[in-house]
Amino acid sequence: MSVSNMRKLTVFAPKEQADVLIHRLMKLRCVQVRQTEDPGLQLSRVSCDAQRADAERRVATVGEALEILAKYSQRKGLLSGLIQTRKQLDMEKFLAERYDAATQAVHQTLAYRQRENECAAELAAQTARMHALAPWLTYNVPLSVGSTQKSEIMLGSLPAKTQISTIMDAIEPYCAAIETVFEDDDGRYVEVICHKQDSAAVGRVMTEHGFIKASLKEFSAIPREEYENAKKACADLQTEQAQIKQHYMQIAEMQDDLEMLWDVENTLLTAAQTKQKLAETGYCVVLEGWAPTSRTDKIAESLSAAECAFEFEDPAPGEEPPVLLRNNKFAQNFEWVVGMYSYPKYGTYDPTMIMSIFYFLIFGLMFADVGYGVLLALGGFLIPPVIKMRDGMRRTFNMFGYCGISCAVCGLIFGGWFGDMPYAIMVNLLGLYETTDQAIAAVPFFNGLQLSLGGEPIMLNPLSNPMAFLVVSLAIGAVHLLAGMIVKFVLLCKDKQVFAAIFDVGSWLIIFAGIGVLFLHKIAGIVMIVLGVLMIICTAGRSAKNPIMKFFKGLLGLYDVINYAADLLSYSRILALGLASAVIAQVINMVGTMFIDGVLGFFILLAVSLIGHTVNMALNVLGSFVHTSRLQYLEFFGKFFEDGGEAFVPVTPSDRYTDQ
Amino acid sequence: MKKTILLTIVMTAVLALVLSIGVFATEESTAPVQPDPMGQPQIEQIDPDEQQPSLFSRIFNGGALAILGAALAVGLAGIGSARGVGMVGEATSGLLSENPNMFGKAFALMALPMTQGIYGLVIAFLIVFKAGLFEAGGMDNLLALTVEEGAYYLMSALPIAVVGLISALKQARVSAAGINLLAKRPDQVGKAITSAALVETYAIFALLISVLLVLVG
Repeated sequence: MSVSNMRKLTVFAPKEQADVLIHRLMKLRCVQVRQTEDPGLQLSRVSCDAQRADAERRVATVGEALEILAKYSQRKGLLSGLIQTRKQLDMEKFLAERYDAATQAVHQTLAYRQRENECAAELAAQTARMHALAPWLTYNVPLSVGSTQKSEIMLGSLPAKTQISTIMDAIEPYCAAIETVFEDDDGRYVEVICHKQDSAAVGRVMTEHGFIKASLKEFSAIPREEYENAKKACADLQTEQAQIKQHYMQIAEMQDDLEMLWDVENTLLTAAQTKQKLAETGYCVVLEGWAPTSRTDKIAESLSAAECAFEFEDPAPGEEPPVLLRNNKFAQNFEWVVGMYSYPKYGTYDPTMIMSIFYFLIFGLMFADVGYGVLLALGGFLIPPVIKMRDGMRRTFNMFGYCGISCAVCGLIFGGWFGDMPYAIMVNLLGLYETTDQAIAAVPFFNGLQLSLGGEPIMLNPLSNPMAFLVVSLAIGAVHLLAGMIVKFVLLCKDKQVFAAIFDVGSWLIIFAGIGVLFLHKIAGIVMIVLGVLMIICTAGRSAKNPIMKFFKGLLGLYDVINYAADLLSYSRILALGLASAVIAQVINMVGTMFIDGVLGFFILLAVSLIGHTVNMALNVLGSFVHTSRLQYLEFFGKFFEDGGEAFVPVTPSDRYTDQ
Repeated sequence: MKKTILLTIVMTAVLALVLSIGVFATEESTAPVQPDPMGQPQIEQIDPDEQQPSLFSRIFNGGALAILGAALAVGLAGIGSARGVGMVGEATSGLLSENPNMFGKAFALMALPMTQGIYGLVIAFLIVFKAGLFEAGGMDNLLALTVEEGAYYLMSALPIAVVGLISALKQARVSAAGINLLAKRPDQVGKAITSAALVETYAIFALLISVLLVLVG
């Protein structure tokens, strides 16, 4: 219901106890440590850059190892990947018993990764050697023999189209010989033997015909032998790679431990980062932070057991404590929606409770459908306990769960069961009725409530009667806006600005009440409206000194009516979004039921629905979420909200994989 | 880009106008000749060829105008959404190249300009529903629409067609800028989404008017 009161905590502890103190506070999860301020006390910063850098490096290493091992995880399958069983972590016990083994495993993993990379590079090199040697396999002279006493051997390739006879003719004058070793589509691999003194000239002639010398300098034995060696090396490397994969698999069995290790290392990193915020004297450290007033007893109890001195004090004027919202079980699920806009300033009104009620209502109206609503509620309430979700995410899911309930109830009232699925089944699949209208007349239950106003039946289904739904949307909007104005009125009164409350807000409330009364009693309504308008003209310009300016400013005050009208019309989006989801759902049902009647038709409907309704639901949950939020932020919060608070972020142990 | 949009809109309007006028003109010329008020039978011999409606009026009748409306709604709004989602998608790829874990957050921003195309689809379906294409009789219901009715549906579709196109493009720009914001301040995704959602307001109003016109008309 409100923004929690905060108290400032100051702790003095011996230097060597700093780490213990920080871990103790982390366990409490209710202290936000801030940079220690030093009003001329000449304290120095705690220097633990090395400790922090070390912690950072270790977190990165464990993260890298986890990434490598993820592929070899024992948790197979999509489901078991999603449903992570969060483990309970006892940090002291882990540090004492399993820390060394886990760290060892991390180092092993990284060493194997390094060796794996080397293997891959070596494998590439050996494969390249095999490629280079492949054409020369029938050449039976050791490659180290490049020349004899008088003759020289040149090995190389010619373009595939070259006629060997042309070359023979060209090198004839030098008494050189040419022999094809191997030939394929890419070229002709040849051996040329010539006299040593002619080698340069022969080389030139050959080059003119497209001869490219083979680069086989790195080899010495005969090609086949070299080839076999390379092949064997490749096989060895592949075996080694397979072995490394085996090792990975073995280490991956320790995945649980490694994940715990990640959280442990990350907790140590948070501790180091927190430590950097402290100040120190020669023997002591000073820690400053904020804690909610409600938790001070618990903190005091915990700190009394430690070797330190501490005190709580109220925030000094001018200090801005962080903001922690405190709400009941229903409304606390909506706190993150407020946080997405901005936290309220410390000490101001927390609108979460009143907002959550309207959020619940408007979301339901925008997405009024029993089928989608029930699915949303099931998802929102069942998924978090099944996958053991963290608290923050759980609240998000629960919020959508509550909104799902609202959707389902509104769906009952306004007639939405996956769009018009019951009628589509009755008419198209079962053939009970000729047309949808007949089906609606026979079974009106699925088409929503029917009101009778002044003897005239009014269908509440937005597709049958959009105007009725538009009126409902705008009525909800009017109530929402009035609620915002009343909050402003009360806040101004509490702030002892009674005049501002009556003249700036109260006058409008009188006008709006007058518009309402107009329907019941004409004259009374008109009197109220005129009274309100006069109040605005007389008082809106009260800040101006010049009486003429006072009058014109007063008239200008009436201009606000346009803002209020625009705000109100903004709520017509409830109808538009409701219709969009209903029509798309109707189309999906039509496509699903138009092909075949009977039992087979149900299967087709099921298949089409699985895809179609899922997509429609996803899009509309996003749309309803965004636009309901927007109505809160602009139309509602705009009336009274003081933003700019900073969220309360206590130091806590890392909890990506584990609970501590 | 602006020129393309303007050209599309102007061409649409001109096309609709020309068609309506053309259809009216041909309808009047092919309307059955009224008997003389004096009761005198018409002496003029009617050529059997002229009694057949012209090709023009056979193609551009009330049903066709209604379909044109549906086509414009789903087409123009769809063009806007396609381009828009494309723009945000490009920006997202840039973001993902640095931080692949952001896809979930970026996805909401990518999906936002998608809605205008869906609104166009909603109107297109409402028009063909109302025209009776899916009821007994099917195509005949559609062909039985008068030119006035068809023109009414065409005009009803224009708000979402035009506003859908432009608001999707503008929303995409805000969303793409939101992706940049996301790259630097991942915690501020809510504000990026809200800013982008503001642009959608006018597409929603256009949808509302189109829906009311089609449903109530």
